[in-house]
This record gives sequence, structure tokens and C-alpha cells, in this order.
Amino acid sequence: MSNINRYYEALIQVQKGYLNSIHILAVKNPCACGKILNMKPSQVSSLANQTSESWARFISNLKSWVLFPKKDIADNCLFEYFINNINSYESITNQVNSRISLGLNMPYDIDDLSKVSKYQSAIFQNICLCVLEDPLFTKGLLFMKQSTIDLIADSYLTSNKLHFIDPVIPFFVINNSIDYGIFFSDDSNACHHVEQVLFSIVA
Amino acid sequence: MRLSADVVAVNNVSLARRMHDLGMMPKLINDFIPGTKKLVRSFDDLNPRLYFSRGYSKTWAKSNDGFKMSNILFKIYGIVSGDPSLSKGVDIVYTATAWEVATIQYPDLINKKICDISRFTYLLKKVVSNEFLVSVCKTHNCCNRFIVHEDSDRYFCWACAENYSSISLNKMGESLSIESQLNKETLYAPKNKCVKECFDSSVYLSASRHMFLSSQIKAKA
Repeated sequence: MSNINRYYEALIQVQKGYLNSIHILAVKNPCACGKILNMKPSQVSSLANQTSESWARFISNLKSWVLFPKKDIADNCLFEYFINNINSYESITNQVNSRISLGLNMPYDIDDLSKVSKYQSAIFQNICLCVLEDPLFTKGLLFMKQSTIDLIADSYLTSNKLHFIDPVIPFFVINNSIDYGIFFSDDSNACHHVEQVLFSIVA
Repeated sequence: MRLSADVVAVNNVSLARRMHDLGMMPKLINDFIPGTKKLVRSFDDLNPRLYFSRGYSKTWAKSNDGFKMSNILFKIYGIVSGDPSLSKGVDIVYTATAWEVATIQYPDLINKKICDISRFTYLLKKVVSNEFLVSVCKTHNCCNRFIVHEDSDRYFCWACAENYSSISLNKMGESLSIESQLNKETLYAPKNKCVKECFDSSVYLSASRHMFLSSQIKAKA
């Protein structure tokens, strides 16, 4: 039980870091933030209008995992693509980045963006380690599919760990069944909404 | 490959130990892992916080918290086992992991004594035996499904029950400060007890008197 508590803490902690750095990105570079997280301009502005304290308070109340990998143009899950290619010796950054469709011009040298990307690396590592140690628990917490679990279990141990620190453009977005309007607003019901959406049994 | 009997026994012992540590009653452990009843009795005493019910009762799922938690637990079991409709029955390993996920995300389960692992296991067993039924939320535009006991009279999923409860509706009304609300009446209040349709003897008596009188008049004529 104590081990599992640590896995949970680690995963939630890294999610907090990711969301916090997204807030900083939204304040400093709203355009990039909207493109990366698939957000509408109104949602970006309501996120950027929040003070960092209120956003941090909201995040620390969040008990469940809300991140979700994007899909590329061919409708493949980008996280699975990344794990599939993790054994190669050359860097796969460019391949992954070119699969993220971001519209025309995206400045690649934003400091805040690279911070988000670093938190994403931490997410990769934590997820992989937790899956390896306790697949069922991680599956239940992160709403993962069994195929992804098998994929990680197959390839993580022999993989080239340097890929985890590659500057991959962030591709984790907020789970798209959550209403972004509520999630990014300063609404006191946002936590309840997340809980309701994630734990409702949908037909 | 068939494991030798010794290996199976060792696995069973460690599984029984795990379930015991999570607070499951010895009887349930014996139901799922046969032949461990005497063994579990030999384990050391359990943390009494984790173990507060005999499990079989269904009343805990009737309160608002219990209803919500029973649905969340059911969903977590579905994710962990990859079998959301429980078509393969209840697996004790999945039960243990789902319980761990739930108690970490919702420490109130134990702290407020809403549910323990024995209750959770009986809940799953009752879903399999159709004592708990899956029904669809009756709110407009909400097609969430939820599990509820067959005796219960709930028609809305827990999310709608939370969103449209009298407390939250009144709060919403206050924040909107609608002018028509000047009379300070609550937006939602439970109706007064509806009058049951019952046999009204006075009506019956007057009607029969009328009939009697009219028959008397006819007889005279």
C-alpha cells in the first residue's frame, strides 16, 4: 500500500507541474498555448486571467488524472507512437514533432514551451515506471488501455532512455470529454465537473 | 502450463494475505480463495479502521454519498478489469487493485465509514446476480448509466443528482439573483405529501342513498 501511495503521489505531482507550466505559457504566449492544447481563444483568455494562486489551488484540489494524449493526422495515438519508436538510437524528436499538426507557424524557441516539454518528459518517465511496477493500479488511475500497458511493458526495459529527455512538443491535452469552458474558468464547480465526467458510466 | 500444487498454495497464501491487509472478512476471502479460512485466522490482527462492516447490507448504497461512491467504485472496477459489464464475473485481484485506486483517490470512503472492501465485493457480486441493476438517467440530454439497487427509487444518475439538488439550485439562483426570486422562495423544494387515492366512504354513502331514494320513487310510481 505504501508503494502505491508513492506512485500516486508521483503521478499527480507531475501532472500538477505540467498544468502549472501551461498556465505560465498561457499568460506569456497565449497563441502557442491555444494551439498546443486545442483550446479556443476564449478559453485561453479565461485561463490567463486567473491568478496563479487560484489556478494552483484548483490544481491541488484535483484528485484524478485529467491528461490525455493527442492523436496525429492518421488518427494514431501519439503516446503509443512515441513508445513504439523508443528503441531506436537516433533521436525521434523530429518524427514525433512533425506528426503534431499545429497549423502554420509555430515558434519553436519559447522558453516556457520547453518547460512544459520538460514536465512532459517527467510524465513519460513516471508513467512508464509505474506501469512497469504496478500495471493494474496505473491502468485504473490513468484510464489506460490494456494494449498501451502491454506496449510499455514490452519496450521500456530495453529502450534508449535518452528519448525521455528529448524536446518533444507537448502532446498531452486535457481529456476531451471534460468541458474546457468549465475547466479553465474560475468556477468553483470545476472539480466536481471533472469528477462527474470521469466517473460517469456512459452508455 | 499447470503449476504444481505447492506454487498454487504459495500464491494463494500471498493473495489471502493481501486481501486480509486490505480489510476483507475471512469468509469472503475463503469464498474467493478456497481453503484459506483457517489460514486467515492465523494472520495477525487487522487495522480496525479498514474493517467496519459485515458487508452484505445494501443500505449503505442508498444515501447520497453511498450512491455516488458505489457508482464510482463500479466504474473503477470496470477500468481496472477491462470488463465494464462484469460479463466475466468478479476477479479478486482486480477487486483488490480497484479498491486501492479508489481509497487513494477517495480517502473519505474509509474516514467517513461509507464503504469497506467487503461491502465493495458484495456490491460487485450483487451486480453480477442482478440484484443491482444498470439503469439510464432520466434527465433530459443525459444518457449516463448508473447502478442502483432494484428496490431503490432513484431515476437520476449521481452527477445529475448532485447538479440539480435543491442546495446547488438555490445557490445558482442566488448567484444569478433573478428578480422573480424576490419573494425568497426556494427554487426547488420537495412537494408536500401527495394525497393517496383511498376509499372515500362519505361519497359512497351519499351515492347509495340517492340510488335508494330514486328506486323508492320508481316503486311508488
